Amino acid sequence: MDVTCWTVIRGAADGRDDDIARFVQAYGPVVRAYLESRWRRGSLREHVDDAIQEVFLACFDEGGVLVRAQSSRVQAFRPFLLGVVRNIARRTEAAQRKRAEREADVESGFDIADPDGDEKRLSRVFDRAWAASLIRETVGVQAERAKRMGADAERRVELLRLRFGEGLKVRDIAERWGTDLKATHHEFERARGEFRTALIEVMRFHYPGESRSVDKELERLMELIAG
Amino acid sequence: MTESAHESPEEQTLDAVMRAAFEPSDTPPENFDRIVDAVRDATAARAQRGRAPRLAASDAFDRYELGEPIGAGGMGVVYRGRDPNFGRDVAVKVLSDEHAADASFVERFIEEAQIGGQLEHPGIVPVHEVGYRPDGRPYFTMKLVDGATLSELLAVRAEPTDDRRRFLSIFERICETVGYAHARGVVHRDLKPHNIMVGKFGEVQIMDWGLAKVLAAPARPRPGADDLATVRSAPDAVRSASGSVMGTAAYVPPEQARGEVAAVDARADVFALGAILCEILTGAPAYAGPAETLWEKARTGDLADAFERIAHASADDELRGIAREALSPSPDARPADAGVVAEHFHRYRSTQEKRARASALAASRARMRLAVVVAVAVVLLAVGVTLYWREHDRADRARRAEADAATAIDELRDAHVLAVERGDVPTWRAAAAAASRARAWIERGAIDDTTIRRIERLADAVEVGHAVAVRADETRRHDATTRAALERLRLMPRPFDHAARAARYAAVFRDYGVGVADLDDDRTRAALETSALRDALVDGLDGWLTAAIRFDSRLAARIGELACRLDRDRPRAALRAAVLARDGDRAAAIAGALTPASSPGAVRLGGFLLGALGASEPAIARLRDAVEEHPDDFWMRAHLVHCLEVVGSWDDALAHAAVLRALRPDSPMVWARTARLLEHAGRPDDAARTARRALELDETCATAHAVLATVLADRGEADAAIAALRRAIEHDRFDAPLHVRLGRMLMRRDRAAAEAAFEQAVQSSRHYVPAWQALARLRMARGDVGGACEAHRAIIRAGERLAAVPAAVDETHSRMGLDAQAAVDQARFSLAVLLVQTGRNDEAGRVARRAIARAPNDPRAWGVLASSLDLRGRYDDALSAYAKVREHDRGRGRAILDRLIAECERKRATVETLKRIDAGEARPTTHEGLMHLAEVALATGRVALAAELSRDAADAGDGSLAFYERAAIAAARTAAGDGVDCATLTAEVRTAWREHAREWLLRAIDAHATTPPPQRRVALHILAHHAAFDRVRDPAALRADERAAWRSVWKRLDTVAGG
Repeated sequence: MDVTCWTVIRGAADGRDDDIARFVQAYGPVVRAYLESRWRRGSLREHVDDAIQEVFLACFDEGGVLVRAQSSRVQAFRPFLLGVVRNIARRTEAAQRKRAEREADVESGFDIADPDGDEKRLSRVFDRAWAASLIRETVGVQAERAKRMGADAERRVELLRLRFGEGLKVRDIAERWGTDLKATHHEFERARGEFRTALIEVMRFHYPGESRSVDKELERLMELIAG
Repeated sequence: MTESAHESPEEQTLDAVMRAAFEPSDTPPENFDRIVDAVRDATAARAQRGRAPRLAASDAFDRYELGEPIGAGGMGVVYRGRDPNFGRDVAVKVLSDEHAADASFVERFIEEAQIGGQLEHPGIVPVHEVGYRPDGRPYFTMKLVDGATLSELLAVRAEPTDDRRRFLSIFERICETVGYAHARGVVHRDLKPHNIMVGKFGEVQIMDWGLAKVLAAPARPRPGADDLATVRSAPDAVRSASGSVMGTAAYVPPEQARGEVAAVDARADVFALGAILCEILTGAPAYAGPAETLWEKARTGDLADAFERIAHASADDELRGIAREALSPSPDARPADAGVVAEHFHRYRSTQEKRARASALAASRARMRLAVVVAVAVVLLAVGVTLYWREHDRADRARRAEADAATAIDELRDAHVLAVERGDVPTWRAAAAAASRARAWIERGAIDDTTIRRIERLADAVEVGHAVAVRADETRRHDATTRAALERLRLMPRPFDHAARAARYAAVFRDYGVGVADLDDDRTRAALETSALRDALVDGLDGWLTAAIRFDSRLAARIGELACRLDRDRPRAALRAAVLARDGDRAAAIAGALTPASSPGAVRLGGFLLGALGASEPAIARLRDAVEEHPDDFWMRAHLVHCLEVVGSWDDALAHAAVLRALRPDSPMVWARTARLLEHAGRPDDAARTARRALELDETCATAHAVLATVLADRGEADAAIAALRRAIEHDRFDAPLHVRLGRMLMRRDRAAAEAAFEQAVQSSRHYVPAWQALARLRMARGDVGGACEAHRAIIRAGERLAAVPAAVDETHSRMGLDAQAAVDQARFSLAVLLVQTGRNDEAGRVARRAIARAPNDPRAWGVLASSLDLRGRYDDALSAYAKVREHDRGRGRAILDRLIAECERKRATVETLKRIDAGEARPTTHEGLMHLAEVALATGRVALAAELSRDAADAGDGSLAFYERAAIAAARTAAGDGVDCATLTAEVRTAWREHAREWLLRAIDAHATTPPPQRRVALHILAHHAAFDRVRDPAALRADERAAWRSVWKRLDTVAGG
């Protein structure tokens, strides 16, 4: 059976440590980016960590929204995660407001700055963070796979890093490595293919379903990164 | 050319992605280990708890003594139990074993308890407690309802028409209850006769809310109905996704049968109500037939059979129509919610009752006609059959006794059933009468023991039921009276006198059983905490507090303490504390910081206080936002209307008043306040019409009568206006402004009646300045100088009291504070002048100095101080004061001032002349010279010398009016021994001076005869009130031989003054 985000969610909900760690490490930055952007002003910033925790608990909750979404065969995960984050944020804001009124002295009780409620902007922030997270994960998948495949594969990952991370031309890399330019070009193309494969794998994990959906999301992801 | 120049767009995008992927970053990847740990711990803990919803830990289950199971539902088993703490039987529902491990069942089970705990309605079984058993299964306890299910009752009918009236009455109660639930956003989703209990006293209660769904928004929100919060109601997404195919096939609508969960709303319950009505009318629910076919019929909405049965049921078209409409397969064709069905049903029942009454009347008439015919026939026949009857009489009498007793028992039973069904006091009273009649048969001894026991059992039940109904009715009436009284009080235009307002609150609370002495009593607090009126009482306490703070801080503190104990809302408590500290700035700051999301109670009080502090615009802004958030909050909107009224935004205020009328269509004060707004807005005809509407609702509504009076007065219908005002006063005699308005209207017609009205005003409110001002004028005009002085002093007291409160607690007082200061200034001036004129110069000086302390540049105050000093012979000081007058006077009366200063300087010089005369120099011989000397002697306290000099002056020639007045005063003071040179005077000498005083006073009175009448009256009464005449004003206190003479003086004065 394919491993998808849903199987990880299920595993996390059942208390499997690996799944919990994988899920939180993958989506933690996305959730944080959204919440920090939403609460960039005001006293709610200090509640970001608690809210992230709440988001993941809501995801893993038996009968929670994500599990229900899966059971109703709705496959796209990103909008659901966004929905959960948004709901938790709103709930935190409401609870904080009430608590301030109830417990704090009145003067400071109303000091909660209004969250930046521009949902379009927040949605873009979420999407960018989401895209960055998937790319990060892709790099990790490719590196992991290269490690298993051997030194040549790891060298191809390094080739990509030099080309895109340090901005060297393939010619300069061949020169630095003392390798044949044509062969280096060939390795570079192979490395690109491997990256693409890893990216699609990551996308499939997060978008279990039809390939059309993956392609569409890939296109969107690339647009987001490129734009 | 770059390497990427040969790439396709897709490849270029992939390169962009890779650039992002391999871009060096200074920040290391974030470590989420801490969050991972926390999530892991929380997940593990939850798994350990079996993912049960969170409830407060409770070990209370052990205390219940569980009895036998009395029912079982889809999720749990219901046991009869006993709660020894309260000594009551309860029903204990426990989640069944097979569902205990399923979180969704646990959640739903607890939600059932939470719904039952939050829906407060007589038709919903109250839940007492919810918790976990020691074995981890959730349970909840609820009221034990003894009785039968509707299903059982319907099953024992022989025909669907049996007991029709009773079942329709039950159906009506079901609709009302479900209507309430819908208004709170709850859909039952499993309504069926099996889930409806009919108690032994006829109470109808809907059970088993285990499948209920909390909607995102109520079908038709009810005023004051909060959203329900349950374990499943937190995020919207959860609510909308909850539920599945559930219910009982015979009663579910097509959309529910098809599992279209999102489409299931209040109209699903409406369908079930239609199915229940269908069963009442036809003996079978919407779908009937073999069990295996029911779901299919339900899914397809196959209602042909049901409609056919309904069409042939023995029922009115209207009733059949209600059933058909509710059973519409399409939700859109059904009534929106059960409240609408209830309304349709009430209308139907009301029409039926009217018809029944008309029919009973016709039948009664027919019976009367028949009785006459029968009576004639009986008389004719009686003669013929007498012998026969005699023979059979004894046996027949016994048979009739038995039959009558049986009839009495039947009547008693029917009356009992009817009383249980209706539950109202008149029906119970009728049942009690039937019980008395039945008991009478026991005393006659003509019935057997079994029948006697039956009667006694029934009669006892009726007595208990009657007593319970009467007590419940009394409580209901008492609560309703208190609620209405508080509402009337809070909606009244704010009176000027907060003591009067506070007294009204005190009276309402006293009538409710909470006297001022009970405010600190723990038992009182406990009783109020459980009162059905708790929220209204807290609002009332706040109203009382804001009134009491004006005059009694300690009382206000006690009221505030009780309010805080009943209502622990922090911002509201902070507002109360600010009011108690009389810190208007703090109150305004707190109120200004409130947001629509703050608690409604705090927003209401904050809005009220902002308005009260004169910050109407901020108050309006806050309240506008708040009413958007809480559109059904009556008082929030009422405060907004009040603030809009204060700033004169009539149209806006009227728009919100329309909403208030929609929220409380039966509140006479809402209509009366609307009438007032219309009147202010220049729409007198609408105002009159609206005021009359208020009076239709409550003929005693003083505000409505007052509005009518204003409209009538503006139309020139003075008599009608006065009559309306008198009616307003009749119903609210403590409203001082009403008395003043009446007094003003009466001024031109009957001054005595007007003065009486003003007197009533000050009786109602000792601090109502306009009433005292009117009284001061009227008393002065009729010569009551002492009364006028008293009125001026009252104005000063009231004004100082208002000014003593630094932060006004309502806008009326803020406005009043400004007006009051002007009124106080005027009163001080008038009083000081009167005191000078009546010879009370010391007090006049004190009053004038207080006026100067408040307004140092007021020439009037300096002027009156100068006069008081002048008349006391302190000429240097007087001249200094005159100089101040000259400094601050704007030029008016400069000639008079010059004359006064010249005279003062002359008098200062005369002091030296007096000293020379004392040293032996000869006295002047002219009238004028002697008169000047006498004037200064009088001012400097040498009254005997002044009297002597006046006598010599009078001998030297005729004097002026002023001369005779001063001469009379000097002689009267000498006679009274009121001077530094009177110690050695004998009684005879004093009597002689009194005789001179009388003589000169008469001359002065006669001299006034040429003064124009109004001034003459005032001048003469001021003279009569002069301090010098205090000892002779009452002739009864004089020697007998002088009384008649002095009586004639005062009579003469009255005559001249009156002429």
